[in-house]
Amino acid sequence: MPDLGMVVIVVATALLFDYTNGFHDTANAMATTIATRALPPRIAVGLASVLNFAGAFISVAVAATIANGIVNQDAVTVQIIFAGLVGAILWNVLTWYFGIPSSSSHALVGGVVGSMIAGAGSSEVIWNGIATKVVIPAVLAPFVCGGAAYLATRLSYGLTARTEGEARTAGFRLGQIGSSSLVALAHGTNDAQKTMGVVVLTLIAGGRLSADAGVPTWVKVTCATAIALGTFSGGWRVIKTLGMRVTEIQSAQGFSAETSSSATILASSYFGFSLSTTQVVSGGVMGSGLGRRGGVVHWNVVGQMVIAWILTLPCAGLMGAVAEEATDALGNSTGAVIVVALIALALAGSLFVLARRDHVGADNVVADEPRPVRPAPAPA
Amino acid sequence: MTIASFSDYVPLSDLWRIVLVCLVVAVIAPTAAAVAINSYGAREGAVAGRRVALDAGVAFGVLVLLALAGVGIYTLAK
Repeated sequence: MPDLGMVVIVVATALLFDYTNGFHDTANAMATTIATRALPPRIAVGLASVLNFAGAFISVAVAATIANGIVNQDAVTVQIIFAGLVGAILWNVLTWYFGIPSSSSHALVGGVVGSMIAGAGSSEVIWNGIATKVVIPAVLAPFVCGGAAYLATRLSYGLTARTEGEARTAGFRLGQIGSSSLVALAHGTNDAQKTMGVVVLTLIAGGRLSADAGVPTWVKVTCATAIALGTFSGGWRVIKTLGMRVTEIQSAQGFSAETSSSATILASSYFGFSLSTTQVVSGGVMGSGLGRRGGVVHWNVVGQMVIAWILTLPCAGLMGAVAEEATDALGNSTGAVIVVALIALALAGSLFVLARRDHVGADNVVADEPRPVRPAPAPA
Repeated sequence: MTIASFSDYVPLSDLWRIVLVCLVVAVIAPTAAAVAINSYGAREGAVAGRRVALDAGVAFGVLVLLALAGVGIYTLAK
């Protein structure tokens, strides 16, 4: 049985992942709200933070399902969970550095799968489950939400065409705050639960909790707090990409994108599909960009996002596998876990330091993006 | 054949329901918002009798949006 020190470190790592999940995914709920100036940046992330915290307490129905159907849970050890978390954290920080909205959930699945392959062999991975729970939903999510957002945007503009600009802008901004809030609440419920599941799995694998004990209150509170703090710190680089660089968003588009996103996330949850909030909202933003007459979607930015989505599973898996091999090579002891954790912290910390050179924060997140200048047509 | 293979991984009936829900919301939400916004925009300069009808339009649009949010929160809790 792993000693208490190792269990504590792995739980702390899970909470750190939860924190990165929060700051990486703030954009999902609030990027469009900030972009359209429906709310000031700090107020927007503060609201998202509170709603993520509250959302974590709404339900714990899926708290123990993150590894279920993905890997053989009997083969899961505390070290494998730790290495998987390290892979997910590093991928989250790396994609945050480049400002790419990628899925934290897929990073976690990738990290755990990679560490499982390294620690117990590929036979312990349920590949069919990965296709069902990760790959197919990842392909479908942007199209389902994007289609709905396109339709909603067309209607939003078409049905309010006769109303003067200010009333329309203010009305859609109010609606956008409501729909964004629903996305934030759903994000807190879905994503905080995933970390709760990881912590519970760690406690069970570490012999500190019986398998049928449920989610202890302190786990709920700490996970809710970690994701709320992460959200409040604001992943400004990702917010800038999703809110400013994919397309130029107006309030009607923001309302349409966030309403479609919340409908897609909640309907898919209801029918048992686990969709990535990030991919849903990204699809919504693209759909709203296409839905506005004269709207332009910057496909080069979308292309970067799609490449990151494709790379998330293998890259987080590779990082998880390296972390597992390193922990194993150092003797699988508490000391080994500490050393690997410190190396991971140093790597993540160096990206934070690098990010300060190209600062993006609440003060400049809505600064105008330079637009590519189209060359004038040559005279006939 | 492709459909058969695909349905092994994803229950298509549920998938269509999700698409249907999204499309219904994509129609209802902007329509409700448009009713509220258009009614609010037309209030200025309207005569008293018409203003009551426009206020009702604003209230109706807002209530529909609140109802949608309520259904969403209920689904989340469920």
